[in-house]
Amino acid sequence: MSTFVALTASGLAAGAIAALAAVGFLLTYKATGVVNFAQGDLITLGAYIAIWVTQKEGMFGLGALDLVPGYIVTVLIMFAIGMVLERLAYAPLRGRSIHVIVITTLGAALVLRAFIGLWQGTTPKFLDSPLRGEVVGIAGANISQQRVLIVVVTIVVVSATIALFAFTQFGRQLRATANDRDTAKLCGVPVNWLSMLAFGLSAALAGVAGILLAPLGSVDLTLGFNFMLLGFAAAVLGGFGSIGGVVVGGVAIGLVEHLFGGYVGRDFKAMYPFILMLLIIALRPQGLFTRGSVQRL
Amino acid sequence: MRGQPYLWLGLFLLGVALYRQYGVTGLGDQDLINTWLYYSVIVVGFYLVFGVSGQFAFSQAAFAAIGGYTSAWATRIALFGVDSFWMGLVVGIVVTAVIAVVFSLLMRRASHFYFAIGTLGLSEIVLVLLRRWTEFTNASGDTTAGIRRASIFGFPFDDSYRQFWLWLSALAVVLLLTIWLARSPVQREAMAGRDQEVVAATVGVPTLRVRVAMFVLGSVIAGVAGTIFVHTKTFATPESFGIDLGLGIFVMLILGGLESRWGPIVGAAFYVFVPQWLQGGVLGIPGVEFTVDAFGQEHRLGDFRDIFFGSLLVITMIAFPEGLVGIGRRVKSLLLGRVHPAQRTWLSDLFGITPRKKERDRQPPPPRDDGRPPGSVGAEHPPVTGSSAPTVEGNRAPDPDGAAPAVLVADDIRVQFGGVRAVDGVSLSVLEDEILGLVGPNGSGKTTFLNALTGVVPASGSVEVHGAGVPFGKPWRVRRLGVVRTFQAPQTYIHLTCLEDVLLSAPDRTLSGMTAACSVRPAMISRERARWDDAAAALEQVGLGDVAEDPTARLSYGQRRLLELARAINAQPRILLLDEPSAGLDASETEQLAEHLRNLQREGVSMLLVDHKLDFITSLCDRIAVLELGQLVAVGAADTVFEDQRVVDAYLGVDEEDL
Amino acid sequence: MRLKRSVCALLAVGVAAGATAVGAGTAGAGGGGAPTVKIILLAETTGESPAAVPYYANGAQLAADELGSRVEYSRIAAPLTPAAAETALNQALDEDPDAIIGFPASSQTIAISQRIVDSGIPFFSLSSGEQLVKNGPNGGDNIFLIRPVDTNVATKEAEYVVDDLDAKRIGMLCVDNATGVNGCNAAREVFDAARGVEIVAERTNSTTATDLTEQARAMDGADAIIDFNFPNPIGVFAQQLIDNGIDVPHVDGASAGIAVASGAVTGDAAVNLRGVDDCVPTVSKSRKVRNWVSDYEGVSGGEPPIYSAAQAYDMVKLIAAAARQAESVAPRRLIRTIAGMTYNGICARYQSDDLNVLQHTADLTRWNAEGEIRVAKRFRFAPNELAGVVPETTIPPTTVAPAPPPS
Repeated sequence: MSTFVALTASGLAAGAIAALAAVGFLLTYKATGVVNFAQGDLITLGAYIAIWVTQKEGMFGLGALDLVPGYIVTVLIMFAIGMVLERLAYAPLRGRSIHVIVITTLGAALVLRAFIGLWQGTTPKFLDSPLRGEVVGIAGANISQQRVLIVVVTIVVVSATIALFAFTQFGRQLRATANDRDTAKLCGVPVNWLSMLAFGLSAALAGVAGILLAPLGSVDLTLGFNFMLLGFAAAVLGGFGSIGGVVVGGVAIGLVEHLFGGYVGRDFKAMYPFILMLLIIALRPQGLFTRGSVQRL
Repeated sequence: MRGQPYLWLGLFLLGVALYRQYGVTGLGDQDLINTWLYYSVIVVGFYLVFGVSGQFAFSQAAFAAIGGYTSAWATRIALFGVDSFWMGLVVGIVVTAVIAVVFSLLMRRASHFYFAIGTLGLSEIVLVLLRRWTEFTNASGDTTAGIRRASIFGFPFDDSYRQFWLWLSALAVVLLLTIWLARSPVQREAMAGRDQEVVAATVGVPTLRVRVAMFVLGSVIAGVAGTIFVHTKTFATPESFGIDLGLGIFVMLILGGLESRWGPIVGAAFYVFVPQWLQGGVLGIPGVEFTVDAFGQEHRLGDFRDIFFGSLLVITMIAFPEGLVGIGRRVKSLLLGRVHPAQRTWLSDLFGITPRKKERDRQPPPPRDDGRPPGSVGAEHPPVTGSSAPTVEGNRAPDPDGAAPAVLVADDIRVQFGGVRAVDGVSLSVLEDEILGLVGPNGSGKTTFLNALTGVVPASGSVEVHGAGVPFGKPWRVRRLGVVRTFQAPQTYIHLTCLEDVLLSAPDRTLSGMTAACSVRPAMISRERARWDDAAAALEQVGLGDVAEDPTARLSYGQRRLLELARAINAQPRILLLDEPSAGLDASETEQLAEHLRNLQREGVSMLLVDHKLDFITSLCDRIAVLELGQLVAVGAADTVFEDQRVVDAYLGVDEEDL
Repeated sequence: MRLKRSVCALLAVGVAAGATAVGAGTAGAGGGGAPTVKIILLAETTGESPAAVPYYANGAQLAADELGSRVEYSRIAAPLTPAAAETALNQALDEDPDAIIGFPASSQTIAISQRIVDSGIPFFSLSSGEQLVKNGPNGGDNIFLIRPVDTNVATKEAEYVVDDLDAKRIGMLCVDNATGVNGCNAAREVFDAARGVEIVAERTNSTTATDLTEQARAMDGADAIIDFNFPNPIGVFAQQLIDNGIDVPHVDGASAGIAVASGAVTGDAAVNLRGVDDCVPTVSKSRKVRNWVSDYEGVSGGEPPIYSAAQAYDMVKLIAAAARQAESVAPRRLIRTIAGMTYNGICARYQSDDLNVLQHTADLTRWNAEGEIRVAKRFRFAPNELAGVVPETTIPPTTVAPAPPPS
């Protein structure tokens, strides 16, 4: 029983990170129609920036910040990086074919990763957390509080994102742009500004994911890539549209890997999320939670 | 250059072979060349998958791994009692092909991102299996060692100098395949499916089959490369086929240029040799080092490899999306003072004549009665030619009793988008040899009705063509029954010439597949020539003979309309569905169009004509049907239907400015 | 982000093979009558690939800078796959070096060992797979193992678990590559042979794992855990063991030091953890080693002076010393000299045994709750410690196989 609980917690935490990654690229997808393949490396970058800000001399030798202020500064920096990324790698290509833009994000991913390697080196680093080493006992299983924090923060962040979409001017404009960019532009929606905001928010979410993920182990250049892949799987399960669906998708793949994979065919559990994803694409491409048929992506 | 691909291929192979013979300085140098050839083979496969067929796949490296490891396994356990390299190669190809087919069919409803994500998922699954399934890989740690050395007829490829020949042969075969495909219907059909899948499907291109075939071919090429790779190295690790290679394959194709078969080769050369030059000093000059002090560490230029390639990828996409080959072409046309590079189709190159010249001394096309799909028009009607006399007399009077048999019967067609009933229970029949007009205000569901009939949107109800039921959602089935349509906004394929565009709709599809392109080439080419004659004639008929070899992207709006018409004529339809063919045409062009349509009617083509120009409609149509809000309001003779008050209310009263 | 560009002419590195007469033994004399020895390092460094580490390049470069004209040092980037390693090796051989130091991963060296043996050039392997010892399936006269044989180390670790920790119930975790598989195989043999010892769980993990809950919980009931892993999973695993109340000694290999140094392992997890490093330069009391540490830190840009850096440094120095002693860089002379000499380096006292293994010590390391390292025990490996290997006294003639001309 306690193993079941512990594995469920692992699955939920992994699913939460995947969901954060997925919501991150869903934002840019909705605003610009582009899936950002650099999302994984943005997650890695977020973790490294947090390390940079909170350790040794801090950023630009200004002194190390405490953890929580450091996290906030990191998310702000990531937001700015996202906006810059939009200007550098996406804006010059607006109106070009989707393939072109996606390949550009691949290029951006390569540059990001190599840059981090030169900047921070390849020796693993560590990002501390205020909850380090703390555990909470649930039904005989000790769950690290960091994992609980991951789930809680994800719930908060995703709820905020959903609210942002549903109740704010930004959300309405974003939905309008997602529907029909040209018409939205004609109606006075500041589409350029909007896509910069979306990239910024998306990168900020990647930063949050990186900050949450990093204290579980140590940080190296491959940190974010796997979770980007899991995020893709989560997005596919959720139907690549609704944020709620993506979250459920994330939880599903987290549980498939850690809970199901904890009992059945352990050695191969890393591939279960992707098998599930392929099955969904084959049998129900509109996702698990979307009714009716949706236009193919 | 386009005209002599075989010559260029021969020169290229000769050049590489000569370089190896006289230019190679040592084993390391030879290894680099072999690596370049290896990458070239994989990336040429990717060129077919992504460049030609537009499938966004990350799976090349995974298929290389599947081919290589399967072959290693087969030779290790001596499958079928033999352990020869050939057997391994064949088993590798078969397994790769089977997995590619299954995967491609599973992904048939996915495109763009879903497909890309699906292939990423496949790569992850393959990597996990390679790391963990040691019964299959026979790996100790992560290395599978002792793989059988490649040998052919007892000739072992046991050092890099010998392995070169194996790689060069593989690249030669693969390049030859790309030439064959380019000089056959396959490539244009793949490109049509890539750029305009719906349009291609409605003129009869089996888009799914072409897509799957291209994916499988590209993946099998990767599998062959992987097989040769493991059997020349005699060891394998999963990391050799990891994400680095996957991304590298992308980088190579994009840098080299994804619109040419030489792109992969140039891109792979760039990817392999440039970092070497950067490592060994500036531009390969030993002793001249360019160092950069970054983050307190001194770095050589070679240390920035990934930043270099990543930035190049971004810059390429922004500034010169055709890649290095494209730049080369631009420079060449600049030097030669040509604004547009030659855009001749391979057929013109092959026959050495342009369609116009050909038109003058044209032979009647050879009889084509074999292998035709039942119900297509050629069997009953003579092919449409520019000089053909009217075969059916005059414009007949409408047949109000419905005595003429119905050729197309649509019953209770419904299409729903979310909560909107775009087409709400429409039943309508097109009678033999008639032109049936379909009018209605904007948004009344006319185009959606056509989309439903041609299987482009999901619908319910039933459609029968000549008594045969047509399933929804299968455009090519509709096409096979002789139903052809045009589109509201002219849809052309910007990467094809007008001639190729029209060729796509040829009713005779014999010998147009991949197998024919790679086996019975003379027969395939003679078929192509016949199709080419028809297409040229159709273009001539609508007055586009002069621009037959121009890319469709260069046509004016009116010309694109005519091109659509030529495509429809060339399709030799029995039933033609026209969606606002006169939109955007001036009075004389509209009159020309009407003339073409009357000719077609005389030749026995029934038509359903959606349009807004009332005089155009009334002058052409025998009967007119009126749609409003997805429902049929009235059907009647052209001269009486507009007297119906409901029609006046629904149509004329509401949307006058449209007329 | 200070970007200073400087074009500087280094020593001529890439003299085209065969073009010049830098033939064996005929090279121009450097300082003190010793011949200039041409050394090539085959390893990637930071920036060349995401997996590359800077230690080898930094250490070797430091030694080369100190030796000045006595060595002609260059580095060729050898990506971590065996196929890329083969290309790098062939490129190196094209440049006609006198000695090669290479390949961090044993899979690289093992896969192309035949080519290395055929070349006859002294090759110093940065990895220490058992197969590479002289007379081993992938070994040769000219292949020297810098480090103690990895399965020997694994065996010593397992014996430590059984004898020193007196553990009866043991949990095992193996990463899914050569490190994990070979290490666990060697350890399992020890446990199977020991009386009253039981393996309670054996699990695997991937190098990128970020959650090892299942694996950690499976260790419940073990007296000690032995783990052959990569730095990141060690950090995850050590913490999750503590989280799940499994507060027992946790013995790992060389990656443990990197994991602790990163800060990922502290507190009880660090106290429980044991690692094995070939040497720990930072805790040495020797003045020579401490000077080296400060020299290294001056050029490494903040990267820690770990054993790999020291070994790469030592090897360049050792080769130069051998060349001076032999007064020649002819491969046979060099190999014979190295086989017979003793060299006191930063990391260890190197002396070749009959298996061509140069180093025979390793340090078991422990940490306090703050992550400060100390050496808890020194493992000593007797020369020729692989059982059943017949010592070979004569060195058969090996020649530099000239690359066959293209034909």
